Amino acid sequence: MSDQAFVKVENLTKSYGDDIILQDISFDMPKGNVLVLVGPSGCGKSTLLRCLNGLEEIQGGAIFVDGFQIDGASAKELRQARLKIGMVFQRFNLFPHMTTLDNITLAPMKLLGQSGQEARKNAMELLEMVGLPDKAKAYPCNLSGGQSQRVAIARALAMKPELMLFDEPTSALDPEMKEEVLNVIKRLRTEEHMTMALVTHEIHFAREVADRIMMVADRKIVEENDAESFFSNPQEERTKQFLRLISH
Amino acid sequence: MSYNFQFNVINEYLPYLMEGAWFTIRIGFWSIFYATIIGLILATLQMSHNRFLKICTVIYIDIFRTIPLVVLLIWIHYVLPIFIGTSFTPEQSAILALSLNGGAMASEAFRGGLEAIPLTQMQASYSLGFSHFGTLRYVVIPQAVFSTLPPLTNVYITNIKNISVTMIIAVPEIMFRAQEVMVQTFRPLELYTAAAIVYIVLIVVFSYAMRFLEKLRKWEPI
Repeated sequence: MSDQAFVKVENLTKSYGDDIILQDISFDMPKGNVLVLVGPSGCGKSTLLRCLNGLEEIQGGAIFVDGFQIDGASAKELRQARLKIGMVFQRFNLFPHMTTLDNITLAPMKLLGQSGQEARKNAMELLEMVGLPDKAKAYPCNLSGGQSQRVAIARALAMKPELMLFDEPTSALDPEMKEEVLNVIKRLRTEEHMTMALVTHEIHFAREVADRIMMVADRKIVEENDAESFFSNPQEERTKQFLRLISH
Repeated sequence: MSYNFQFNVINEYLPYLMEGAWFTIRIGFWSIFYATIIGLILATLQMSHNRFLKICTVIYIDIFRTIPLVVLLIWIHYVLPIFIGTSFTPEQSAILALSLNGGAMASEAFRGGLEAIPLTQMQASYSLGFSHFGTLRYVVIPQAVFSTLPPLTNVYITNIKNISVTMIIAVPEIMFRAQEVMVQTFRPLELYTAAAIVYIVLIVVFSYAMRFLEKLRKWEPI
């Protein structure tokens, strides 16, 4: 199982009308692997991530997660597949009308049939893990950005996903708060061996956490390599140019 | 101005006038009740993906938002019975006209409230595995209830004020009763002032009640 692809993307094409965003994208992710997507703004890496849980429809190719085909799935099948895929957004997207605890327990109770007691117990454990047990009763409006994002991670983890998608999880945060969120993601890797796909601009973090790095630009995968080689020995001119720009 | 207010005329006809005020409250209650139901149905249909239903709601809203209330009242009370063979009491006609008109207005308030919820909220809900219906139920509507209240309050206040217009089809609400008594007593200043005060009190109490509902929200939108 370990060498088999947990996520498999084959010849994916994504366009809005006549506007082609991504063309002929193919890659694999083994289970327990951490893939980081980098690339210039607007290159479609966030869109690619959102295709993986079916938030975006694709115009060509196929996406498989744990053997299940995401594209073309019925609404009901897609909901089943999404139970196993957690997603964390750039702007947190917590539900503002619910406390932290309710944000985390809503989906496990309504979708996994957990009892309130069970869901709350799990939620408190997750809040411990992200370092926010004292914020259980707080509403999102009273949380800082970093706290909100850690709650959002806990909300996704409460569904016990097998794959986590992070869409620029630290882009909306102050440097200090970035650190607290990145630490949680690092722990997910080292302690839970979570399969993760991340879009980020934090290059140092990417180097630290990624098994593989994929550079997306001009609608396609420019270069894909293991993290160390990607940074120390980039092959493509486009990658070198990008790395020069962001290292300033 | 050397006008001598003689408010004892109000005292003298108080039960009769209060009955008018009670009519106003009753018509207000039922027309707001039905307008809310019509508004909710229209807003829900407008959010659906069915084009035919969408077009129907647009036609409804365009018709009942553009017909002046006086025209609608007279049409329902005097013209509609010719078509359907039965006539309405003035009170029924008034509630019907105000509900149809208020429903169109309320649906716009509901739509605004629903559309004010960012798309990202729905995406977060979908990504957890919720259906469209579950997303509306747990995420969108609980938030929209509160974002809808301020515009809805305006719609309802207009509705209450419009009750005074129903005097043209002889609905015995407070304004109509005030006029009746005035014809007998020649005390327009006292009586119309009293009618005005009844409307002011009703609307002030109503808007405080709505503000109280708004304050039940313990969270802030982000």
